[in-house]
Amino acid sequence: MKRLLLTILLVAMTANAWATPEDDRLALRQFFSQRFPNLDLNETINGLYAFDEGAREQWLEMEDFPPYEIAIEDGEAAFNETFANGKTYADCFANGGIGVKQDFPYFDTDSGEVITLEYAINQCRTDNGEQALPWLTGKLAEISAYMAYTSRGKRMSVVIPDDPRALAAYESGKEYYFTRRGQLEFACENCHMQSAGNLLRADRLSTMLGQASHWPVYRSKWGDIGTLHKRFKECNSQVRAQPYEAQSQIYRELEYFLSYMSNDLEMNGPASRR
Amino acid sequence: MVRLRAASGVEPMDIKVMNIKLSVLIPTVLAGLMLHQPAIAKDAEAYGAALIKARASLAAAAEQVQLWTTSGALLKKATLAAKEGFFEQAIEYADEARMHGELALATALREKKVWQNGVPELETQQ
Amino acid sequence: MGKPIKIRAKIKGDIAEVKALMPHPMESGARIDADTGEPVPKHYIQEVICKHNGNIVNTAYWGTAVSKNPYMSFKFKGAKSGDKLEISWKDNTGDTSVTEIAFK
Repeated sequence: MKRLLLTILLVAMTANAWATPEDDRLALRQFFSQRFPNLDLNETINGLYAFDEGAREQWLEMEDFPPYEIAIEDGEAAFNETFANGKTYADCFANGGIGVKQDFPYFDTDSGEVITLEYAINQCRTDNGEQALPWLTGKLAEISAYMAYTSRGKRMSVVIPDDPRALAAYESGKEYYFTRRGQLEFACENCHMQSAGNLLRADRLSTMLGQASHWPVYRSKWGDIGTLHKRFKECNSQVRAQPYEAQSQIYRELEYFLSYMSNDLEMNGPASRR
Repeated sequence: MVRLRAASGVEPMDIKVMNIKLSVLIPTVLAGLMLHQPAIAKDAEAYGAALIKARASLAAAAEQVQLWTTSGALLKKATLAAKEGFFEQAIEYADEARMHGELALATALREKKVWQNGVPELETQQ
Repeated sequence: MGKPIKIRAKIKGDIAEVKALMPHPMESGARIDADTGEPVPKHYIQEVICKHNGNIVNTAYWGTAVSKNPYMSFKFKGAKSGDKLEISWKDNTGDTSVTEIAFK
């Protein structure tokens, strides 16, 4: 809380000195255009498959009959379930929850919190007397997969309202992204900006641009569908930094920042990855 | 390495081992053996102090930003070693955990000042 | 009855290409249930039979090394538009699943 107030104060005092989120986004796109002059930025939604020919071939073959198909079907069935009190998920979301993922995360000006899709799904459950689902994988990820599927083709359109708290949340996520952490002292940007396209063991590193567009993801490594926050936890562990809880404030702020950076890119969730 | 010389006029307690007279050496060794018990208690105390320092350093790091995943395992090893009486080793583990906390904190404080440097800036054509 | 098998089948020239995705937990018996601490019992597909117009074109014997929701693809000659393709599996609990499609 104290940190948030201080951040708000700083933001209010130095707002003109800092670049706006839109400046940040355009600067990021510029960064990647300069680094990869032959890359179509719209392809970045496919992560490493934008860089690795061999992996891309295998992935395209898999897309013919994707492993996340089962998750979408199970997710649809779960989404259409009725709660004990007679309500459904459709009652909690705009447009009945169909084709809305591109607007997440959003900043809730009433509660002052960043709301991600998974957070909203569980909020819907608890508001209607149901138990919250586990965050990382399973039924919640399947519902998210179905909802992501209904948003395919739409453009990411995360909004930062004219509210210093929202801007502070965005800046907090941004600071997290660029801060080195863990025994290996890596920041997210070291891999996904400076070293994007390079090999890390047997995988190519994806660009930060386009990373938020395709979640949840069926990761071959997990053998299952999983959420973005599960990947955050994994990335933290990989640099030997203690992971936070899924859907904790800092991870939601990080997702807010990442999603805004991918604004205007096509939503292509759920996706399959190695 | 004790060479007993059956020489006349040499008293047994004047025999030297490693250039120390037996008359000095034997009582010293006996005293050392008798003081061994309280020495263990002192080691345990030193371990306790090292553990407190380690925990404090880790708490400070946790407050700032992120701990390393490595410190938990080290503390566990320290506790195990202490349980089995290997205090010197336990202190080593506790100290290493403390250092992990200090390094994590150092990174966090440094990064607070320099993280902005990585953010790309929009280049506009003038 | 097990869950239905998803099948995609295309004919290119005189070669039929079949892709199948079979929802199945495929428990090896080695995984420990986090809640009970006990191993989850073995539950895996043992035999898969693919028939073209009633004639067997592919038989597969699987074990516990095959992972959850197995995906299989194979090719065979001699299929025409309208022909029937049937894929069935049987698992170690005796459960079965059969799905039939027609080549377009």
